[in-house]
Amino acid sequence: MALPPNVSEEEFASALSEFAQAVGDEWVFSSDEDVALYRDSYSIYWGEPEERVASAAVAPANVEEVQQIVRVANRYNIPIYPISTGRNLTYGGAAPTLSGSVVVDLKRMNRVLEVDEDRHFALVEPGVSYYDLYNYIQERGLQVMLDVPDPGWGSPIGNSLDHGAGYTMAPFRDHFGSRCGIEFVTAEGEIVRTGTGAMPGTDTWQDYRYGVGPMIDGLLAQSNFGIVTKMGFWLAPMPETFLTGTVTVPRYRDFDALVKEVSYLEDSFLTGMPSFGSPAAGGGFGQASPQMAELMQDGWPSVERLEEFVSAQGRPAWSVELRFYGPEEVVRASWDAAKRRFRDRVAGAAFEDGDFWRLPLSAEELATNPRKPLLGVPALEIFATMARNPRTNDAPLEGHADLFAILPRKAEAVHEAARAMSDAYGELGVPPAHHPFSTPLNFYSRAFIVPAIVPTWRDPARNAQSRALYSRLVDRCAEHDWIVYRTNPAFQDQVVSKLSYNDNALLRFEEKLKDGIDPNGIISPGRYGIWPASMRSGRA
Amino acid sequence: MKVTIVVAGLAILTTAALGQNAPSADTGKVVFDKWCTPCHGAVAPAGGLGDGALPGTSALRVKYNGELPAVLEERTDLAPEFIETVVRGGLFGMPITRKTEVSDSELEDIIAYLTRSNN
Amino acid sequence: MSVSEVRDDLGQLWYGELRGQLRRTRTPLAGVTDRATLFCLEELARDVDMRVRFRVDRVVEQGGRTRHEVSGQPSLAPTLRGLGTDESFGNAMASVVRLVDNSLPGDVGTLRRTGPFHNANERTLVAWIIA
Repeated sequence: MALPPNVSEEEFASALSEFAQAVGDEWVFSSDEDVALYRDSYSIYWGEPEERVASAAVAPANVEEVQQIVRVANRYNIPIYPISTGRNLTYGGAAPTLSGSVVVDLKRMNRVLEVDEDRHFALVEPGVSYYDLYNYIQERGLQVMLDVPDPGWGSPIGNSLDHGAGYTMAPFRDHFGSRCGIEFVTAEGEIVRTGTGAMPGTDTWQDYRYGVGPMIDGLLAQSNFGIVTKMGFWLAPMPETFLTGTVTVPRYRDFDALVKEVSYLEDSFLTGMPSFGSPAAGGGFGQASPQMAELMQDGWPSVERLEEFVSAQGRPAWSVELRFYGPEEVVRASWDAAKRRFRDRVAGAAFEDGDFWRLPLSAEELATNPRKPLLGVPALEIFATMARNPRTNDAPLEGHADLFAILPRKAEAVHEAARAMSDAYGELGVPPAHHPFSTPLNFYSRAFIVPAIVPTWRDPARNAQSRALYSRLVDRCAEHDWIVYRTNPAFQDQVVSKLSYNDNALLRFEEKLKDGIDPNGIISPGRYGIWPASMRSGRA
Repeated sequence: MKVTIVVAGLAILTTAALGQNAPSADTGKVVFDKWCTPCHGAVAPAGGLGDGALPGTSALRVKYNGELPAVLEERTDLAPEFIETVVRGGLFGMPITRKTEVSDSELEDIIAYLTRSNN
Repeated sequence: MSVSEVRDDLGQLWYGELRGQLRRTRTPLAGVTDRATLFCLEELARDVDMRVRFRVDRVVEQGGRTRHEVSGQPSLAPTLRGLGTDESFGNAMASVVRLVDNSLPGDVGTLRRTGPFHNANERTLVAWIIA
C-alpha cells in the first residue's frame, strides 16, 4: 500500500479511521484493489514507479463531510486530491498529482440544486455529470440548452475548473467563462461563497458574478486553493432552430481572409463555433494522407508548391462550417449575411447549405443524430475516434495525452504551429500528424488551438516514446511563445515553468498565496506547478 | 519454441456482494443503460464517428469480425469475471469505473443482465 | 518456457506480464485454468490477434459423472486427452504446442464454448492452447 509522504503507517491508519468517522466505513477505500480504481487509465507512466497513484480515497456525501475530511488531513499533514467525476481523461483522470495523496472523490455529491429556465442558469454539485444535468432538464421539460464537452460523463464543475470547453456559442462553450458563483471549502475547513453568494440570502448568486471587491474565482481553476462544492453556470435559452452552412475558399493563400472573416462573424455573435477543414487535404485534422506525405517528403513545401497541390486536387483549399442558433428568420438571415460578406471578400468563395433542425430534437431523433455535442446533448461518441473501428482496425489507442497550443487567430500562426509540431514529430522519428493544411480548433472564440494528440499505452516502452514527444512539443511551443492551455500532471511543472515572465513572477505570487491559504500544503500539492513550501525545494 | 504456461486453479475474481439483495437483471438493465449504452448500445448515429456504430460496439465489431455479436446485450456467453475485469480495469480507451460510479452490487446487477440469456 | 500464475487479478497478469510479451513474440500460451479465466484470456488475446486453438473441457454432467470434450485442431486430440495438472502438464503442453498449426483457420467451436456457466461447471478445469 502506498503511504502519503512522511506519514507513518500508524498515523495513516489513524487518519483513515477518522475519515471513516466522517463519511462512513464504506466510503473510505484503502484496499489495494479499491485504490487501483483511482489510477489514471490513460497514464503516460502506467505501471512505472513515476505513475501518480493514490494511497486511499474517501468519498463524502455533502459539504460538511468535506470540511471534516479537510480538518483530519490538516491534523495528519496528509495531502488530499479532490476529483469531481474523475473523468478528466488525458489530463490525469482520477489520479492525484502527488503520489500518496488521498483522493477526495466527490462523485457522491451529485445533486442538481437548481435550474432556472427564465434566468437561464444551473447550480450543481461536483459529482453531477453532464448526463445528470441534461437528464434533470429533460425530465422537467426545461427550455434551456447545455454546452457540453465531447465526453458527457464529465462534471460541469470539474471541466470548467480545468478550463474545458464545448461547442455552441462563444459565451457558453468556454466553461469556466460561463460560471457564475462558486462555493468552496478552504484548506482550513471553512466554507466560502464567491460573488454575490457572499451575502446570505442573495437571490443573484447565479446572475451577477463579480460581487464586490476582488473576484477570486480564478484561484480555484487549475490550482489547489480549495475544494469546490457548488458552482453556478449560465445556460443558453433553448434556441428555436439550428442551421449550418459551409464556406469554401479555393486557394491556399485564402486561409488568411477566411480566418479574418470568421473572426468578424464570431466576435459579432453571428455564428456558433466555426469548424475549419481542408477539402484539398481530405480533412484538416488528424493523420496526413499518403498524398500529403508525398507532398512533404522534401520538407515543408513553398506556398507556390502548395497552390499547385491544391489545383491538382481539384478541390478547394479550405472550408469552414458555420453553425447558427436562434429563430429561423434570424439564422437564415445570418447565413445570408455571412455568404454576402465572404463573396465580397474572397474571390471564388462557394457555399453549401448544411443541416437545419428545429430544436429541441426528440429523444428518438437524437439517438441517431451524430452531432449531439453541437446541440448541447451529452454523448460518448468521440471515443470512436480512438477505439478500434474499420479505419484504425487493429491499432486502437489505449489512451492519449493531449497538448493544445493556444495561438493568435492568424493564418500564419496556424501554419507555423503545424510546421513546428511536424518538425518535433519528425525529429523523434514519429510520423507527423501535422501538415500545411492542418486547421485550428476554435473552442475559445478569441484564440486558436493547434492540437497534438499523443498516444499513451499500458506499455512502458511505448509510453517512453510518447513522453519524449510530449515533452519536446512543450519545449517547442514555448520557443514559439505559445502556451499549452491544459496538461496532465506528468507535464504540469514543465508547462508552468515556461511562464517565465519576470522570473516566473506569476508562479511566485501563487506560491505566496498557497503558503498563506493552505499552510500545511494539504490540497492537491503540485497541481499546475503550485507546490507547498515544504515540497518546493526541488523546483528549478 | 517458447511457451508460456498459465496456471489458474485458484482464480476467483468475483467477490459476490455478500449479505445484499440478489443481483437483479432488471436493475442491471437500468445501470447498463446509464453507464454502458452510450458506447455499447445498438442504436448508433447515422454517419457518426464509429462508422455506423457506437464506439464500444464499433470496436467489438472489428474485434469479433462476425464471429460473435458486437452488441454486448446480444451475447450469451459472457463470463462474469470478464465483465468485472473490464469494468474495473478498463480496456483500450475504455477507462476504469470506480465504485462511487458503479457500486459492487450494481456491477453484479449488470452481470446478471448481461448473462441473463446464457444457457 | 515460462510459468505464470493467476492469483486474483487477471488484468494485472495481462497488462503487467503477458501482453507486452505476446505483442512482441506471439509466444503460444498453454494453460489449465477454470473456464472463466480462459474466457478472459481468450478475449484479451484477441487484442493481440491470438485465438484459442485447442481446448479440452472437463464437463460435469447430471449425476456428477464427468466427461472430456475436445475441440480444435483434430491432430492434437490424442496427445492432450490424458493430461494431468501436475508438473508434467507444462512439458506435455510445450510439446503439444509445437503441433499447433497457426495457418489453419480458427475453429469457432473453440471460441464459442467458453460459456455458459452452469453452477456445476463454474470451476471445472479446462486445458487449452492460445496461439
